[in-house]
Parts: sequence; C-alpha cells; structure tokens
Amino acid sequence: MPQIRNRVLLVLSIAGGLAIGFAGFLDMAPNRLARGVDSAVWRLSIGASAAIAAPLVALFLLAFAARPFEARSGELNNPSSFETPHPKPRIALILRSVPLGTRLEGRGRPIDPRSIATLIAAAFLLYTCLTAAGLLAKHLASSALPALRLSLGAGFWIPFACALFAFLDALQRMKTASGLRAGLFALLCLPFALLAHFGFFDALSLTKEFKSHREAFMQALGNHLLLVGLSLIIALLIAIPIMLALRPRSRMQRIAYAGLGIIQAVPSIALFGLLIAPLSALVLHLPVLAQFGISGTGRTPAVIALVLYALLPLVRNGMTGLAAVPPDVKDAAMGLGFTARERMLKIDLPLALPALVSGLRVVTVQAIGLASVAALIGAGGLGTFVFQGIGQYALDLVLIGAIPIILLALGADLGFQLLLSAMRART
Amino acid sequence: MIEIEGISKSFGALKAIDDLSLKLPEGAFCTLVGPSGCGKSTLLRMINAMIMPDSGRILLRGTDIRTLRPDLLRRGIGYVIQSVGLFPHWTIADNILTVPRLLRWPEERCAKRLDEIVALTEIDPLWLTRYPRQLSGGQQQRIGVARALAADPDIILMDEPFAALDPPSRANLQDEMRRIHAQSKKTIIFVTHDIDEALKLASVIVLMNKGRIAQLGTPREILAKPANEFVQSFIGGGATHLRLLDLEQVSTRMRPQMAEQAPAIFAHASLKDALNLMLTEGCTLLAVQDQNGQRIGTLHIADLIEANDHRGTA
Repeated sequence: MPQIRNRVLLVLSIAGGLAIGFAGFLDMAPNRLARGVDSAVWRLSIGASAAIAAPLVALFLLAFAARPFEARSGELNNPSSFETPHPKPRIALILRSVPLGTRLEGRGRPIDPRSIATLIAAAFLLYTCLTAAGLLAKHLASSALPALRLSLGAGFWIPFACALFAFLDALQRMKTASGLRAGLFALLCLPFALLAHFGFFDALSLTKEFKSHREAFMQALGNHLLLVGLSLIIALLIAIPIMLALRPRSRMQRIAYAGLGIIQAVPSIALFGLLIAPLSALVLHLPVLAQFGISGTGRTPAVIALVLYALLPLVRNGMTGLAAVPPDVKDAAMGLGFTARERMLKIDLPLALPALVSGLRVVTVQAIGLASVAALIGAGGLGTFVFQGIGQYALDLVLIGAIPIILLALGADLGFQLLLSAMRART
Repeated sequence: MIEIEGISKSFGALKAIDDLSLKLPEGAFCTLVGPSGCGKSTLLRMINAMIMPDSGRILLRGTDIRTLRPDLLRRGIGYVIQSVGLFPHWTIADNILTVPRLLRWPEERCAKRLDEIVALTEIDPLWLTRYPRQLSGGQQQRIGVARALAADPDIILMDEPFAALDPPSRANLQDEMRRIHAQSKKTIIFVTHDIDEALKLASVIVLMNKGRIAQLGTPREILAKPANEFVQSFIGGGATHLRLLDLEQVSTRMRPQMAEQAPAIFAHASLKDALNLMLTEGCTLLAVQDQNGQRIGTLHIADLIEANDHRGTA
C-alpha cells in the first residue's frame, strides 16, 4: 500500500472520478420550465470523458508521490553516486534544469516539482471540462429545438471545482512570493476569458441567461460593490476611533467586545429584518431623512447591518495590533519626546496596520457574502439573481449571482494577501 | 547643573526613592549603580519626567522640570534603554533622526547632522538604509546611542544600555561611550548593576541601596574608602587593589629614564595591564611608549606598589 502524501488531492481526484462516472454532465430540457434529462459525460462522448479522466488520474497519482528532492542530501554523502547516478532522481534533475524550476525558487528551498505537476494537471482538467462543455453543447444545440436549454450538471461542476481547488492547494503549498501566485492564477483565468469572449460557451443556457440579463447584471455588480465599499469605509471610520478610545484589557473593552459579539451572533436575515421597523419609524418622524435616500428598506438597513457585522473583527484586530507594539518601542518613543498623538500616528498605528488590514480582509470577504443576503430587503446586489433564480427554479440564474460573489470574495482575499505580504516584507 | 532636591517616590507599599538629594556638575559621567530594586532606574526616569516624584523637585539648569512640557523636556535629553527600542518600521537613518524630526529641523540640517553622528559613533554608512531587524544586538544599541545623540542634547540618560549585550560588544560600546564623553563633554547619567562597568566609565559613582545613596564619590574614592559594609560587599572586597590599578594609566607613574631592552607598554594602558605584562614576561621593568611607538620612559614594579601605598595611606 503506497503512502498517502496529499490527502487533499486524493479526496479531490476520487470525487472528480465519481462525478464523471455517475453525475450528469449536461442537462437537456426542451424549454426553461420543463424538467430536463441529464447524461453523464461518457454517454455523450468517449473522447471527452477520457480527456477529463486523464488529468484526474494524474492528480490521483500525485497524491502518492514522494518529494523527489529528498534523495539530494543522501547523494552528497555518498560519493559513488557521482559516478553512477541513481535512475530514480532523474525526473528531479530534469525538472531542476528547467529554468522555471530555478527561477521559481522560494525562500532558500527549491519549489516542490509535485506542486508544478499538480498545477499543470489541474489547469489541464479545468480546461478539458470547459472545452468539453462548450463543444458538446454546441454539438447538441445544432441538432435540436431553438428553445432547448443545456445547463451544466454536477458531472461538470464537481470535476471543475476539483480542478480549481487542486490548483489553489498547489499554489498554497508552493510557499513562494504571493505576487507569483497571483500571476499564476491570472494565467489560469486568461484563456477562459478569451474563450468566453469569442462565444465558445454560447450554446449553454448559463451563457444565454447571462446575455439576456447583462444590463441588470452590471447594475447588480455595481450595487454589490457599492454596498460592500460603503459599509467598509463607514465601519473603518467608526472602528478606528473606538479602537483608540478603548484601553487594552479594560472594563470598557470587555463591554464593547461583548456588545459587538452579540451582533455577530444575530443571523444576517434577522438583523436585516430587525432594522426595517426602527428605520421606517425614524423616517416617518423625520421626513427630512427620506431626502437623503434613507428608508426602512433598501440600501440603508443593508449598509447599517454590514457595518455592524464589520465592527467587531475590525476593532478586535486593530486592538490586538496596538497591544502587540513592543513595550520597549513605546518606552523609547515616550522617552525621546513623542507626544501621545505623535506616538499614535507615527509609531503605534503604523505598527498595528498589518493586523488592522488582516481584520479588513476578514471583514471584506464576509461583507461580500452578506451583501448578497441584503437583496432580500431590496438593497439590490448580486443576491438579486440568486433569490430570483431560487424563486423561478432557474439554476442558471442562481449561478449568475453566485459565481461572481465567489469570485469577488476570492479576489478580495487574494488582493489583501498580496497587500499584507508587501507590508510584512518591509518590517 | 542637575539638582535633585529631597525626592521620594513610592509604588504602592514599596518605597522606591526615599528622600534623595543629589547635585551633578555639568560634564559629569555619573553611573547610578546598585542591586536590582534599589531605585536607580526610577531615579533616572524621573530626570526626564517619565516618572513623577511624590515629593521633592528636580532642577535642570535651575529650572524645575515640572514647569516644562514633558515632551519638550525629553527632546532635549538623550535616552537609551536596555532593550534599545528602535522603531522597526523605520530605516536606521530615520531612527537616528527621530528627535531632529520631532524638533522639525529642516531636511538639510538633518542630513548634515546624520553625517556628523555617523562619524562620531562610527556607524557603517551601509546600515543607514537597512531596517533594525537586519542588525545584531550590539549594532542596534550603537544606533540607539546615535539616536540619543542626534539632536545634540547636553544630558544623556542611559538605563542599563549594554546589559543585554555579549561581552565583546559591551566592551566595545563602553570604550565608545568613554570616547564620546571625552569629545563632547556631555553630562551622562548611566544606570548599571555591574560595578566593573560603573568603575570603568564613571567620573562620579552614585552607589544606591533601598532608595537612598549609600555612597557618592569617584571610582577611586569608592574603592579605596568604602563608606559602609554594604558598599564593601557590593564592590566585592577582595580585588580592590587590582581594581585601583585598573583605574590609573601607566603615564601617571612613569619615570623619564629610558630602557632599551625591556618589553614595551603604551602610556595610556592601565597599571593593571602593566602588572599583567610583567607577570607574563617575568620582568620587573617595562619600557613605556607613546601612541606612535616612540619610547618615552620606563615603569618599575616598585612604582605600582608605591602608587598603591601612597593612596592607601592618604
């Protein structure tokens, strides 16, 4: 029994394999309302299923692969190996001679060739899934009714997600500069963008749905970003003064944490709903507020709820950062004649900034997700599609909302990771 | 120039400083020395108003420090602490220029002053663009000293600045402080728990115990005439005479005659070094030379003993 070296890859490849064997790859329905028939990929095309299975097998095998460089230290201790090279480490030697392998070197340690192999296999899997979906849909669409709806099934989504997770996992394991990681990820997305741009996926109902909702989509995307951006700015403007006002380990701090913690525990739908009544009452008594666009439903309660959810992580992270400023640094600053204000602005806040930014990272990802729920109270955003899709039992519509939400969250997370590693590189 | 008048300070039930008075002349190199908990750091931190006394007052150049704004007072006093406390997010150059920038000196003046400080404290100019974590402990404390000197304060407070360093770095920085004091004539107040460090550096030693001054005097006075049993035990009785030899330079006991054959020693070396050389070489006579290697006199073993006798009876 070979030793399992990467459980993530093992699980992903088995899940992918099961999905192509048993789950429907494409779902065919005569129109938008009728129930469809789904077929597994091997029923549709043997070639396509082989193309998807091959990288899955590669990922499965990679789950058992040992690190080829492990033989290296032994080699140096054993002079005979210079005369008669072992047959085994040859792959490693070849990989090492590739300029990529040397250029990608991380902190003193060369990049694990298994990560590179995983990246290649995962990217291959991703694109065989996409091309198979595009080509098969085109083929089926040309022979049938114009109202035919071809939607992607679990047989597509599971291997596709496996490919994406395997790729991200390999990127994480590489431990290289995050700039390089982001670059590799962008490289993965580029061909997809080109394929989509030139109409490769036009036969799929997801694409059709997207095209018919394009204007509404752009508006919803803008609205979503506005909700998130606005609430983050307001949350920062509130959190920073709170952070500066609270003394570490004081009674007030405990009370503030407890209060903000209770808000965190309220489910998002409940909080959105709870805000409607008091806000409506407020606007009723002060009609002036309505002129500023404030109302019981819509954007106002959504932004307030998002701000409330953001406060605790921001305040707590910021205060942890401030508390982590070394006491000798504070003492030196005081002894050299900084005023309290100068010390806060020039020493404490800059040193606490990475902690505050990592709080902002959590809060941003959280807000992108929560803002989709805000569609329920009429705040707009990408959640509109999700709830509309659920209401109409139109999965494609749900995906038009859900996929960009996931991508936004991933993108924000990656962006903050880059920012943080750039900040840490300095100090 | 520094007058401390009857100050007391308690932390809860603990009396850290007990009705202490002290007058330090301008240009003194004063070491505050004593066992831990004797109040020496508290006393030091009162001089720049980091700690306020419960009673009594401190005058700098005749002004009660209570009447000054603490941050402005501190900008005029150099401050060096054991854990250095360089600002990790600033380059070495920015760290050194901390106080000049607080004082809003124009950038040209800062640049000029940076060059002077780099020369005075013998900092490698390559370090200036680096960050503190890239330097060793000894190198960091050299920057700490440079930062304290940057705005040219006439008083420098140092709180066990070299206690955490390895012996070579410590000896090196001690020599450096001696040289800087000799060149700049600044008033330095230096807290240490190490009596040897205190003896090596001080022009005035203030030996403290339980918040009071146990003895005040020059290193020679403290060694030759310990005021009480506490002082006697703190300076570690036994090797008093060897320590006294360590405090005096060869030039003070040198005879003008020349001796060509004897092993040579520098005039600015200590008498202890001279005795050590005699023991090593198995001789009783040394040739004394100046910094250029020019022979300028001789030192006989009798001179060492005579010198000690002389002080012992004086």
